Amino acid sequence: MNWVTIVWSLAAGACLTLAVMHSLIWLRDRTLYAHLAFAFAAIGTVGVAFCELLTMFETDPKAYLAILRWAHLPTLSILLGLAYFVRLYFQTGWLLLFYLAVGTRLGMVVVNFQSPGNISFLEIQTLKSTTLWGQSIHVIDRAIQNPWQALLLVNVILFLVYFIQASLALWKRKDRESRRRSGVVGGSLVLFLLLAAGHSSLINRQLIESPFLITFSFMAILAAMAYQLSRDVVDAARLARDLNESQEQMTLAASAAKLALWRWDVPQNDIWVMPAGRSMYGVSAHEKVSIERFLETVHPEDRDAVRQSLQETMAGKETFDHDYRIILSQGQIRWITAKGKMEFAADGSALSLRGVSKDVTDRFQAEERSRLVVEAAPYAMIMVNDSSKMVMVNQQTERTFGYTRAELIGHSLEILMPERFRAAHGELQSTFHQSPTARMMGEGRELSGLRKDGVEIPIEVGLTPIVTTEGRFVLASVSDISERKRLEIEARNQRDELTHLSRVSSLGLLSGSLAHEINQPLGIILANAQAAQRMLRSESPDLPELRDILDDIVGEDLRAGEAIKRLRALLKRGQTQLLPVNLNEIVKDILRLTQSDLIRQGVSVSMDLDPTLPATSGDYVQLQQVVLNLILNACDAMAENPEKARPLHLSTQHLNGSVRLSVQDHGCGLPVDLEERIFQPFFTTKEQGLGIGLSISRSIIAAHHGQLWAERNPDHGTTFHLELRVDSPQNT
Amino acid sequence: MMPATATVYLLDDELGMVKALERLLRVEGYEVKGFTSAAAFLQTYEPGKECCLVLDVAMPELDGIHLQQRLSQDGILIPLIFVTGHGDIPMSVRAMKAGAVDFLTKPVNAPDLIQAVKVGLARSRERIETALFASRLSRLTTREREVLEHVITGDLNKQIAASLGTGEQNIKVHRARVMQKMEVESLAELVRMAERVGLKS
Repeated sequence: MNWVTIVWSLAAGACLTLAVMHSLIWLRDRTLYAHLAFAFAAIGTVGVAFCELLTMFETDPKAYLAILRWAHLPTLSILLGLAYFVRLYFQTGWLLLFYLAVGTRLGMVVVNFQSPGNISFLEIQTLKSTTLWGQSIHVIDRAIQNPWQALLLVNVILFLVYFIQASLALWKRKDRESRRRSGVVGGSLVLFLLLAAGHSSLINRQLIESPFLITFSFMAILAAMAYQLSRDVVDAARLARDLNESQEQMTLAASAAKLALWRWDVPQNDIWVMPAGRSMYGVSAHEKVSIERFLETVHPEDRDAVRQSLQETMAGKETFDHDYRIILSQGQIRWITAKGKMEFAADGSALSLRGVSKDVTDRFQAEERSRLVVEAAPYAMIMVNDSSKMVMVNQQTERTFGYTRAELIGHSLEILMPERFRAAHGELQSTFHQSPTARMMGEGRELSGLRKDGVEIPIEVGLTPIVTTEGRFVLASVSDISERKRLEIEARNQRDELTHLSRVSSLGLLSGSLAHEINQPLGIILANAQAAQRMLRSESPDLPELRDILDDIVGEDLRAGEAIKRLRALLKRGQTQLLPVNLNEIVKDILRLTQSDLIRQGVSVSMDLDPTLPATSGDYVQLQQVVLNLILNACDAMAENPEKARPLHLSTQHLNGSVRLSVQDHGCGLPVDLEERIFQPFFTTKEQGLGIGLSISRSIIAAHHGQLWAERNPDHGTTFHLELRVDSPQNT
Repeated sequence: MMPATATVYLLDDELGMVKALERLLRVEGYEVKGFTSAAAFLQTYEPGKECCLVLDVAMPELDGIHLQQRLSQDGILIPLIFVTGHGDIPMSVRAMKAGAVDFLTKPVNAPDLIQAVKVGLARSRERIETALFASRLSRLTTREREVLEHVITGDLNKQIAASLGTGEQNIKVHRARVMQKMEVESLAELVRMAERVGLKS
């Protein structure tokens, strides 16, 4: 081995390695034609290196000539490769120059093979020996030059001009990368091409005796190019790493947000989805996903709507925004919200839809739950905005008012109110918005709702203010209280009935008194009338006396009428009527009514009525009933007393803000601890008592917002106290 | 028609009733005195006169039944006619047993009342007569009384003389004395009077 062989072989090996490397790069990514061009140049350099090595050890001039001829093929490869590389890599330069240089070179190769020797020499006559790095080699001694060899120079100049022009053009772009490319690649190209071409020309023109050494010039060019390309590779790798990193970050962010990124390649009908997205949609990792496959995952009820939405997007709507359900393989239903943006080709055809999906099942379930709660509420729930328009109603609203949801949403709340409440509602509403606090409406007063069929229904309304990002709302919960009202009325009727029965039965105990009330005036009338009849039989009747008799008859008749009227009132089953009443009057009335029975039972009545007693509001008949009941009870309590020891004391008092009647007997007294039990229904201490008198009395007094209670006297018997509020102090 | 001395007393706690009954009885010719309280009646009442009392059972303070008890305790024998608004049987039985003339219920019909008053006054008159006869009887001597007892059985003077062991002439004198003392003019009258005071004929 000698140094020449080693160096040239090393050079060839290095170039071959580069050629293989860049060929592989190109094979991996066929778009990288710059690498292919580079590979061509490198392969050409390998060829040139071999040819040069061969010539140095060739002793036959003819063979020498032949090698030189064949050396033009790798040279062509180099030049075409370089030119093409510049064109691809610089993306600039005059195309005309490029074609001119490439064209003339091809022409030269043709001339080369048509010539007797080659394009440089017609014939090599002798070779001579010389030494290089201590090794004997051969160089051209005598040769006949080919006149066509001038073309070589012209061609090289064309390449040089093309390279220079392209480099300058690139340089003018002024960015660092362009200038580096222009400087490194363009500079080395021009410099070493000039060197190689100059040296070759000198040999061809036999001005110097030297072996051909263009390999090294091209190697230098290749090195510069390789440096630049490797820089590109490093940059690309960094870019790829950055890209990868940002993609990873995006994936991380997407998965943290439970987002799935996807892209639908419309012409290819292929959908790329992030792995998280595949699991979200229940699609296996390597399955190809088409739009049809995607639609299969969508809930059948939502499928048409999604398809429609996709078509609209493709037709030019650009954005895709849709909520839909998907069914997973286990039949599980998930809610998905998806948003995307369509890209279009220049001709307007859809290219790709990029977007993101999110599983919002939890939110939907929460929404669904609250929706179900609202729907299932036993009240009509109506959400009203600040201009009194209904924005939400539930099923019970439809049921209560007879409207469908669509007939209510967006309409004023006033359609659910009877005409007469509408004006008042406006005022109330503005006050409510000024100080919105949750409260019950219509407490203590009747509110009415208006149904679609025009029927008014009694309602109760609760109001709750709701402040959202969308503004202020009021949530009204409305309950139909017709049924409750009906039950209340029924209960009241029953109570009235019982009260009436109890009253009638109390009156039954007073038969003696009642007979007296009627019989007394009747007796007086009869006696007077019969006296008058007899007087008229005489010839000269006493006319003034007759007049007196008639006056008395009229008076007694009126009195009887009054008595009957009073009795009728007590026997009547009337509705409660609250009017101003004076307890003193009631006491006197009842005493008049019971007088005859009290006398018969040997009860002596004493009274201490406060003459300044103010009137209270009450039902006259019902209060009479209570007083009657108390008096009868007192008499019953004293029935076992000796005849002269049955005192009944009635007194009235004006207390602060109320009036009190006390009925005091001197009877057997209440058993210990029964002061309250006696007011319970059906509790009685009497053999024939029903036990309803006191319980009804107490319910009557309670309905008057008063109090009725019993108290044991210190000595004997019991005192019942009845207290009623005085409505207005000036009402005395 | 009626003796001017007969008086009907009325007692009712209600003035209207007193007035009405007064008128009715006055038209019938009775002397009537009405009261609205037992106390007022007791002050005015004159014993020994022909009278009767129409009274209400149910009155405050002193009711009819109690008044009846009190009068009987005080020895005031006045025929009572009760009037009641709602008479119950036990009360009426008690009243009648205690000597009431009648027990009327309100409204009282005039003929019933007048009838009762008549009976009441008659009873009053009888009582007065009886008292008168008894006082005359008490003026007789033992012999005269013996003669009277025989006379009213219808015995002749001769039989009486034989029975008493004396002369017929003596009996004649005694008999004339008896007639004079008893203030009668005929035998029939004497017999009636004797029956009234309880002497059996």
